[in-house]
Amino acid sequence: MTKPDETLEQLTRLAARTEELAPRPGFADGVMASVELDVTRREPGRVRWVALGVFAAAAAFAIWSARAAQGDLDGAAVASFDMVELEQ
Amino acid sequence: MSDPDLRLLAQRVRGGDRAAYRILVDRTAQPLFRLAARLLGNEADAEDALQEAYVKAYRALEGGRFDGRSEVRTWLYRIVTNAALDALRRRAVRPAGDDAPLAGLPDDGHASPDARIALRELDAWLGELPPDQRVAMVLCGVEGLSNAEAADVLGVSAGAVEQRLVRARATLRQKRGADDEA
Repeated sequence: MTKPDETLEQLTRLAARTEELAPRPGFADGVMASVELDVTRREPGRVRWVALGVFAAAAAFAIWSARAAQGDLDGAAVASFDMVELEQ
Repeated sequence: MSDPDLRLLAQRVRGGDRAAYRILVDRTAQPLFRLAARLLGNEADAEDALQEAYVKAYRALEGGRFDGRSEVRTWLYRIVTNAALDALRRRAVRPAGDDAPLAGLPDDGHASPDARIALRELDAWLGELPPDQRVAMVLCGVEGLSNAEAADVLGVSAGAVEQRLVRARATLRQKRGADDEA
């Protein structure tokens, strides 16, 4: 029957014999290619959100501009009405 | 490479420097591959798990999710171990295969035949252990981590690691006893 320390001895021997294990040459190139692919897959989502944000900001500015312009027109109309009243 | 050097590289990756990440991969690939191979028992699975781990690590570094509380090396160790644990749990239970031919990657001369044979022996020997016990045995018995260090890697208590080791040793003793009688 195996004693407890024989288990550790066996593991220690296997540790020493597997010490030199290493990935194949070119492994790091494969990793970086996977990283690039992952970033590219994630980026379309980011680009969509940025585009939506820009569109929303442009729409908000357009609405504000239109309201401001309408406000100017209303003000001019009221002012000209007042002038007409005063002249009458 | 010292951990302060790895920490500097990690900071550069946070700033979007992919060349720094390539250097970090080059400096850490061998010990991490060895860990993955010992955990999974073959080189092909180890490469897959390690590649997956490096992609996750890049995402975390780039996204600022490495808080720097642990050493970079320990943090990478943790990611690789979790990737290997996931792979082990996905596998069907395999019978110990002492007579199985050398599997995994084609022999390109990168690792000696003895190292590859030893890896198969390790896989056969630990093959019947549940994933949690197998990982604990590799971390403590093969990689040489203390119970506390293994607990830190696994995100469990040192007591939980000790429990897994005790059960693993009992299973291995029983298996060896059965083999000796056969």
